[in-house]
This record gives sequence, structure tokens and C-alpha cells, in this order.
Amino acid sequence: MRYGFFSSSCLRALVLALFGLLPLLVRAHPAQADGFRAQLSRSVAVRGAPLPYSAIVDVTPRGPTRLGIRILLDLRYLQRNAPGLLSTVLDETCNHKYAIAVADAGASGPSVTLRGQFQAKFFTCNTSDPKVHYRGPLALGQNLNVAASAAAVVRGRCLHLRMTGLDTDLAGLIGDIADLTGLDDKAHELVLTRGNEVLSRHPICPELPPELAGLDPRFFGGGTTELGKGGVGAYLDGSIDVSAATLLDLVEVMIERDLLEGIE
Amino acid sequence: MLLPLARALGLVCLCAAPAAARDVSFSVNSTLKTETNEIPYSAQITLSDAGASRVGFHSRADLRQFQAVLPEMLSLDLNQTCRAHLELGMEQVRARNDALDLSGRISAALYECEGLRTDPATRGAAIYQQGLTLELTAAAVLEDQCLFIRVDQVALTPDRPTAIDLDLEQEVLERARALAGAAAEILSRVPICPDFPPELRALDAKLQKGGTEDIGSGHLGAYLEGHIDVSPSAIVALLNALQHRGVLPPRP
Repeated sequence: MRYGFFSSSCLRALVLALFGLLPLLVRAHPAQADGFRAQLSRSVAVRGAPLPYSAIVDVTPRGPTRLGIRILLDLRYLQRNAPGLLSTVLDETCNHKYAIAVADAGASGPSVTLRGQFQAKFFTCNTSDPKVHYRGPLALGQNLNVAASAAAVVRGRCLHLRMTGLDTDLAGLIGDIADLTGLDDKAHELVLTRGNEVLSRHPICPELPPELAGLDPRFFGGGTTELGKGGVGAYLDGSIDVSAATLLDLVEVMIERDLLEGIE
Repeated sequence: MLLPLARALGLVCLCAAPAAARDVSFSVNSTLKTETNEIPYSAQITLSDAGASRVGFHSRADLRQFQAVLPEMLSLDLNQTCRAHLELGMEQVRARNDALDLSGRISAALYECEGLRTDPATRGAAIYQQGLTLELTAAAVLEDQCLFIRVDQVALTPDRPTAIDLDLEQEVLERARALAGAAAEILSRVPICPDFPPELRALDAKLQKGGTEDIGSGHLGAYLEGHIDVSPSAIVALLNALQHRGVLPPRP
């Protein structure tokens, strides 16, 4: 997985976060005639199936001794598969089961929204033992429509996603007010707290081709963005300081790749 | 050697022992362009770290093939008129330090010629014949980022002194000098310029000095020295060259 952008759990966390949506400023990044652009095609195995995604790397002059670099990740294939990738049981004991059923994900400008249902089921059971075979019949079922928003920050060369808010909407009318209040809190706790715990352990750290990685780019910004209509993307912005060593590095690559006839 | 030991012990002060500047070397095959031909040559180019945004450039070219064609290129039969016939046979070209020594033979003949006729077919009897040894010394000068070989000394030695007619001898010397000048002019019109492989053409090398040199046994070589200013656009150009050659992934 040398070139994998995400581990599978990282990927899930990412998509979860993208559903969450955060307003991030994304400027258009027009291809410049004097720039370098390359497309990286990768795939990552999630729940046993390879999921393709692509990244576009742009490198453009940004001042007398500096290059700007942007890596734009196209996550639309993952976005389409979000329901299967992200729907999961969040917490389960003998007497309750909390799950998230993801319906769809989408981007609007810099914001990414993840919509679905937070599902709670309560069973007759006298123990909090996680084993469910002591479980009695279903006592109460309650669903909340949820919409999560997320934000991204850059640390090092990695993009860290974090859910920043969760809007809930009562879907059914069963249960008293106390139950509903408790459920709302539980949804926030499980989706935001536990979701963010997962996200914080799985930053997005794009692997660049070694010839580019050797230029030692430093990333200082990034976020999520809309690709096409509603498509989910993410980007990292950084810079490369150019020096004599940068040029010599690239000439050495040319010699190593036999584009130049090297002399010892 | 004490230096590696001292370095291992961390005892070497950078100011005392100039750190070996990092450099990379490669060879390039190129051509010199004469007015009628292209003469292949190879050069070794060394690029070195010469400051934060400056790369030193040093090229050493092996010009033996150019040297080999010079005798024929500079042998001339340009001076055929009603009055005179001079031929230059360039025989030897040798590099000597930073100079180029050329030597050859001129055969000259003057004829009777009426009025202002120019056609050799109208000439009369030969009135004076002389053989001369021509020796030229040339040096390379840097102009417009290329080297040009300029003749700076011309020596003409008649085979036999003649006291019969000093005017005729003087005329032959003047015509021979003009012939030597024509050869020097041809030599000076072959620029020796730095040439990069296609992948590095975007780099803008600025030459600061250069010259010809003896690369052994009088064989002709040339060196060019200068620098390349490292700019972001130069780096982008190298990335695009790597992409063009398939080292980096393609554009979308």
C-alpha cells in the first residue's frame, strides 16, 4: 500500500467526515500554461473491494524561489458508495443497539454533507452485558434523521478531517420527551465523538511519486470541495522551496532513469 | 588520510576544509554547425551547487572530429584571377594550451594581365612564382554566450628570398595575407555554444568564461563555464520533461 492514500478504516472515516461537511474555502485552481500537472490513479481496498480514486497534482511558480503545489483528490466514486461504506453499528449491548444508516453524501461549494438515519433500538434486558443472546423483545425503536458537517485542517503533510456539527430531526413520534432528548444526546455522542476519534487516527496523507516527494513539499492548507455538481473532493495546498539542490535532485533522477548519460 | 578521520571525529571546521560541493555529471552528444556541415562532438557537463539559487555549469567538449575536418575546410582556392593564382593547403591544426596553431602551404603565381581583365583564361605568361608557409595562431573568445575562434597572429614565410622584384614579392605577400584572412574568417564563423540534452533545454546557462584547450597530444577540446539561475519555472520545465519521458504520471 505504498501508494495508497488511505487505509480502509481511514477511508471509512474520511467518507464519514465528508458527509459531515465542513465549510472550507476552496479557490478555483485553473491549470496554468507554465505549470506542471499530473493525474495519479490509485485504488484502495475497502471491505474487500478495490475502490478507485484519483488525484490531480498541480505545481506552479509562486514567486522568485517558490512553487505552489495542490493535490486535488477526486472522491466521487467513494461518495457514490458511501451508504455501503459507512453504514454501521455504532454501539451495541444487550439492551440497546445504535446504528447509523447512511443515505447519501454530497458537496455544495466547500461544504460536504452526509445524510442518513441514526437508529436506536431498545430491548428488554437486565444487563448491560454486550452479549446480545440474553436480549428480550424489542421494546422501543426510534430513528433520527441526521445531517453531519465536517471541516478539514492540515498538519504536516496530512489532511485531518473532523465533524463539526450534527443536525438531528425526529423521524418518528414514538417515545416521550425524555427519551427523545436522551436519544438526541446519544446521537451527538456516538456520531460526533466516536466518529471524530476514528477520524483523528486516520489522516489523509497523500503519497506523491518519489520524484515529487523528493522536492519536499510542505502543506499548510486544505479542505473539502465540490467537484462537478455535488461531487465530493478534497485538496491539500502547499509550497516547495526551490534551490540549487532541487535542480540537481531532478537532474539526478534523469540520470537514474537513463534520460541522461551519467558520468561517475 | 587525516581528513576523513578528522571529519569522523567532528573536528573539521567548514571554514578550513571547503566542503566538497555536490555535483552531478553527464555527457551530451551535439554538433558544431559550420556553413556547410554539422560536425559531431561529445561533451561532459557538470552541474554543481553554487549557492541557494545558483547552479554552476562546467562543460568540457571533445572537438577532435572538428579538428580533423579543419584542414579540408580551410584549404582554399579562392584567389584565381587573371593576375594571380593562389592556393592554400591547410595541413596541420594543433591545440596548444588555450591556443590553436594552424599551419599550411600557399602556392602563388603572378601572371601578365592586360588592363582590368579578371578572367584567368585571359592571363599571359607567368612572371613570378612563390611558395609560402602559413602559420596562424588563434584563440577562442566568448561572445553572445558562444565561443568563436579568432586568428590573432598570421605569419607568412616565403620559401626563397627574392631580390629580383620586391614589388612582385610584396604583391604575393598581400594576396597571401588576404587568403589567410579568408581562412580565418571561415574559422571564426563556427560558434561553439553550450548545448543541453532536450530534457534540460529549458535551463538558461549563462557563460562566464571559456576557451579551447589541449586535451592531450595537441588534440582540440573546449571548456565552457558559467551558471544557471534556478527559478521555479525551470523546475516546472524539468518536471514536465520527466513527465514527457514517462517518469512522472501523465496529465489528466
